[in-house]
Amino acid sequence: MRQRDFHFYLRIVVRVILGFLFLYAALDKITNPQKFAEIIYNYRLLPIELLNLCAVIVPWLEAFIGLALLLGIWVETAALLLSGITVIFIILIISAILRGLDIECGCFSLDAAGSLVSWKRVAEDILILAGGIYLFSIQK
Amino acid sequence: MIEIYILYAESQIIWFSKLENYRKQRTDSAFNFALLVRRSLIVVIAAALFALLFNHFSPRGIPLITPHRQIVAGARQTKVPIFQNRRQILASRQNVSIHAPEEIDLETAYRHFQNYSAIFVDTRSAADYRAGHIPRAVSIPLETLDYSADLLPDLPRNETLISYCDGEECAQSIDMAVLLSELGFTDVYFFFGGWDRWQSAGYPISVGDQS
Repeated sequence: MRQRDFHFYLRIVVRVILGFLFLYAALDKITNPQKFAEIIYNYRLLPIELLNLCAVIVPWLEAFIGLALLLGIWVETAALLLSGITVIFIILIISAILRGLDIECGCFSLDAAGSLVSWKRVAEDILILAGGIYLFSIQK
Repeated sequence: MIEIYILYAESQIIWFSKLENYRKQRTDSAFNFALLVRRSLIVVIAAALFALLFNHFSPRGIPLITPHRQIVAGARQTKVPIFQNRRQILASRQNVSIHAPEEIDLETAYRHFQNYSAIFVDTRSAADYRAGHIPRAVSIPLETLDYSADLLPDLPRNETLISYCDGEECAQSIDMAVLLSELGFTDVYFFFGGWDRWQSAGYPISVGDQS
């Protein structure tokens, strides 16, 4: 019984932290889709035509996921989407590092300073992924 | 007659409670794949619709299909996006005729360097510039360029400009050349071989912040 209580509270904590994180990450991109499109362009992976569409939709997907986690609605679904999207981010960042690209990450903030792609960003994303998988695997 | 009704009601109640149990079992089960997929789709579609709506009415909205143009670089056709802030700059300067920038090779770039007949524009980061660049090159890092500010005021209008970046993997040289010609510079080239080719050719370099 104690074990179950522990997970009950941990689940809420992880949920709220990830929710805030995703909402925060989405806000900057939603208010400046142009800048985000340029950051995606710098990754040189997406066809040029799709840059803007991605820059418009992805931040709102993040916002919806963050909101769902924060409010505790459809947590399993949100955790699944969060994990999926984070796996994609991890792959993108690693590929950028391996190709020697010295570009902005576009992860949380669109500010140029101090947000370049790096292994630290990968580590952060892996932590987030761990949180997502935890939320997904633990039942209410 | 009444008895029949009661019987019927009872059977209905039993049926309902069984159905409830069945439903409970289904939703309680640890992993309901179909439900998860359905909900995921709903969230993704809802987010996409909301995003499109928001983008449509937002003053900072952007065109859904990225505007772009074709640039010929060597044997390759490269597509270069035209981002909106650049177009706004363009719109503010009406009488601009755009000359498509052209590629130049290593030898031509070096000839220009020797003859002092062109200004090199280094589009890489300030750190890369500091670590080594073509002598006399001007550092304008494209990555951190502030498009809202009055752009590139120090470049002379009637000189030949040659932009470059790391080498053939990067396209900032092309981006910068396109941007410069959009801003009304008429004699713009991009040195696609870039820093890699320059360095491996053993041509002179400068180190540090000074050009």
